[in-house]
Amino acid sequence: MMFRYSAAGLRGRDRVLQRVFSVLPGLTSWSILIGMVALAFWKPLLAATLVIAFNLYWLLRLLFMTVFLILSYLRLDVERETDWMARVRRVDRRRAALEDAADPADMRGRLSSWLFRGALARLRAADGQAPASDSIRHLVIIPIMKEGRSVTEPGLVSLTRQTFPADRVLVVLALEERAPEQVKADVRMLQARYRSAFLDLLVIVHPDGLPGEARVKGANATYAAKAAAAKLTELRISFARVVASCFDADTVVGPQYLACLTEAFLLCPDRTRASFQPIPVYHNNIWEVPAFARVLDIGSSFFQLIESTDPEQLVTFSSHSMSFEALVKTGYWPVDMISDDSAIFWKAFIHFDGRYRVVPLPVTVSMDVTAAGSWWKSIADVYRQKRRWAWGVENFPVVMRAFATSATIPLSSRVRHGLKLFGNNVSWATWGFLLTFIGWLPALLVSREFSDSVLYYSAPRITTTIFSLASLSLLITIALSLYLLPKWPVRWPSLRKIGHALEWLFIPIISTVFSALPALDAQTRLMLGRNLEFRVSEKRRGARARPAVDARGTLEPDGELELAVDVRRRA
Amino acid sequence: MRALRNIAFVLFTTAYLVVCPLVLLYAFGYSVRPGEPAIVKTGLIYLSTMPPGATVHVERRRYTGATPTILRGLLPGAYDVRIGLAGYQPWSRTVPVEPEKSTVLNHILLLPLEWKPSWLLPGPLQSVRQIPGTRFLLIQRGSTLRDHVLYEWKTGRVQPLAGRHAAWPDAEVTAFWSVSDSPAVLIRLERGEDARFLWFDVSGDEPRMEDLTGLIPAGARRITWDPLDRRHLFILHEGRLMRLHLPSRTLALIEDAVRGAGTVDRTLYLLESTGALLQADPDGAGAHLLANDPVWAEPIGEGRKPVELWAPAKGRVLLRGARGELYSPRPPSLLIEDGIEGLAWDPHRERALVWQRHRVGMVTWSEPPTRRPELRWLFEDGRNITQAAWVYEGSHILLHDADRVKLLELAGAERPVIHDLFGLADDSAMAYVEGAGRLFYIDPSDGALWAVEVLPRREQLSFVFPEWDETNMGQDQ
Repeated sequence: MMFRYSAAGLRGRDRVLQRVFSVLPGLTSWSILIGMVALAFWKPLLAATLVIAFNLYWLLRLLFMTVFLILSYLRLDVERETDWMARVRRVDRRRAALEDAADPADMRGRLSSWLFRGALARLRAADGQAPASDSIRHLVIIPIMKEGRSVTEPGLVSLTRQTFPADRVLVVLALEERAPEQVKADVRMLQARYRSAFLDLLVIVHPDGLPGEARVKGANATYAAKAAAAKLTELRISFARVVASCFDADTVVGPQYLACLTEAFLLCPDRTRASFQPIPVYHNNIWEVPAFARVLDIGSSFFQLIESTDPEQLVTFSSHSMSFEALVKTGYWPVDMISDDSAIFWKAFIHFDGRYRVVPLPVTVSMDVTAAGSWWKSIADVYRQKRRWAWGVENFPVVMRAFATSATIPLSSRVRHGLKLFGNNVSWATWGFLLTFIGWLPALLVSREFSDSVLYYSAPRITTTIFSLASLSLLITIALSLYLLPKWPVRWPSLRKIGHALEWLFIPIISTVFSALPALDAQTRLMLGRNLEFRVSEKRRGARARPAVDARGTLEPDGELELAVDVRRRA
Repeated sequence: MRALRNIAFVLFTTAYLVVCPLVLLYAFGYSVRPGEPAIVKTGLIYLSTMPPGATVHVERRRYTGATPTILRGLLPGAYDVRIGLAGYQPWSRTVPVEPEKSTVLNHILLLPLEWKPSWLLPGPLQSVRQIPGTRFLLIQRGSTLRDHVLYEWKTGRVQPLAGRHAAWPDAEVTAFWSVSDSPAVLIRLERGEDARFLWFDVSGDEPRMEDLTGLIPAGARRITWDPLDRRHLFILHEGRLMRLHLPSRTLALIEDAVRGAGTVDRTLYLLESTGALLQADPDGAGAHLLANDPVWAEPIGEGRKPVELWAPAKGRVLLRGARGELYSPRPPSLLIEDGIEGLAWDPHRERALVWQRHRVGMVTWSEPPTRRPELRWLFEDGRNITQAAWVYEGSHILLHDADRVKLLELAGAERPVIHDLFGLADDSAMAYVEGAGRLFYIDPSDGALWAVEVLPRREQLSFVFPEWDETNMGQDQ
């Protein structure tokens, strides 16, 4: 479907649709919140009834999500010892691969092998032909604005340490022209130091203020991708054989990441119609940031873990990978939208008439938690970062406009994705408020109509039961977070470690202030036609978070990247 | 994973569709009973006692829980509820239950089988009075300043009201002013022709004294202040309403020709000689007319001088005449023709207790107070009621009726239930302190200070839910 994925320069019906769908999420969220407050005042019995119904729904949804969080974690755990390059070589052997797979001795290995054979069988069933792995090239684009060497270099080092041959990896450092001089110097230094390790390491400077562009990461990444396309053409490399990854500057990948990605790409029957989504974790500086930031980003990781169990409706988020051919055909990342990570999925989904999907990768990529030095500045920065994430709601009007006018995307697909996109945004902005504050209003306001009722005395008992059951989910979440997170610093006393586990008890307040409120803020801005300015979140790492690179900028002898954290770090 | 997810989705959706209606039905009091043809509507009774932990019998069956508790799933009808606790008198009522409704009895005060007064201070003492909003009682041993001591009821500590270096320790205390919820007292001393005014702030560990002599006219009788603002005193003297700013010790005239004044919640109420009742800012600005009744104008006639303006809370104003009449700002203004002995405010439910020699009543306001307040007599068989106080957050009324102390229980029955507690000489001074849950009194036989615990085990007071001021069916008023 030919569709201009942008909210700018619209006319006539498109402009009206865009406006209507821009208003809808915010209007719905505000209506729910104000409506519930009003009901608590004027119709407390109805309000209390709705609160119970909602709390029950939330509980079941929470339990549902917990089940899939566990399954997703197990999936990650099953693959933690997997040698992905060996897998890639087995895919190369194609037919023999199905038969020669001698089951490993341990349960984890057998499960992993079983999952692999299933994927291979599905490829064969789809009559798909996997290209030879040695024909696959990886393009890694790293947009840089103000991230210094301390933030960027560990990620680059992690790419040199891949089990996948680095000489088949083209790295592009996408540098903003307006970046500080020190950052530019850092980038040049990094290019000089690491260029020989890769197929090539390009530094592409994105000019400031190109027509039609906003000051967003997507514009930088797109400019770099076009330059990379020229380079690949020059090298006579087919775009269909290239997997493009767009990483945040602080992204650090494990040694197996590109191998895992290659395997998933090879096994994907319709690989040029797919994105590949790792599990983003925020472990680079996880023990050096305020508790609220840590809890929030662990929660984000868990949300992605849960989402990864639903590939049908999975959307790309943060650092992700995709077929370069799809990227080029789609027209690259939007150059005037902040949420380039999710926008590229929707853009591709619409471009390919709904025949586009996201393949979850059972591997993590690690990034930084936003930290800005002082506690209060961190609060402001975290809030702005979450609001920027929530600004992904900008996709809703564009996507819905496409869905409303498309005759080629199946109706069921449009309805399913539309409802999920809408529901996710509205629940994001409202649930925190409903659960933490508004749900208690009928009991707190205590009108006579309410206090005379049986419901007034039943509601607390029911709510207590619901929250007690929900705490099961919280306990599981705490337990999983302890397994997934990197090790605590050795010097920490036990009390501090216990304190970190107890951070989760503040989740109702944290999720309201740093999740629901920014989401409501973003939706309100969209509703009122006010744009959000793209601001790069500040990332800081303490000395402890840079063990892999010494003071001279050389790798430590063991070459093991502490920053590339995946589940094996806990093991 | 997709198939698993779909199965889980169906399972959870089905669970929600089944569980949610059942939970809501339960929440509303619907119940399935063996032998009943269909789902029946039920109601509940909420019981909370002081002290807690009492056993409950409904009809003839023992309920397994102890108070506070909720008796759920009761079919509509009337139930005989009996509550018992060792050492306390049994409590029983017939409690009506309506479908989907709660019957709330959350202030059941269990009375001990035997009252055990405790001796506190040796006599001879003359009077005891509470200093509102503090942990102190003001005990009077004689008429001089030196004879006035503070008794801290939490610790039993006694200390002189005025320090050793206070001027005029032998002067006679001729007047005393205090205001509800204000930890301060003002006293007037007289020695010969001279008079002094001393202001005591007792919010700290030691009373802080300030000499206001010369700032307050010697003959002033009407002095009050806002509990929220202890920096200003309002003095009504010879028709002039003045405001004394304590930090700067400056006196400002608010208005002339004033017959009565009261202040609360940073609002000033004043009654002009013309009979106009005004509401104004504390400095007298922004005055607007609340009511104007010729009956309040001056002069009216012998014996009809409504001059005391009683404003215990914002928007709640009553006027008390010299013969004990009680007026409301809303017409028809006359509530009680004469004989008012006293008024007491219930801050929990915003209503006033009013008593005469032979009866006790309650004045209630609508919310918002746009209509004339209503007067309801609760007890009309008194012999000589001299003192009355709200007890247990307004659920009971304590009376000193002739030589008996009585307790009026407002909850649990259509008419208040009267309990005769114990004997107390009719000339005995008493003070009930809600915070302590104790009644302090001076026994005329030896002049000593005694106390009786009215609210037992106060520290265990627990409330499961926020409460509403009145419940249905008149159980808890």
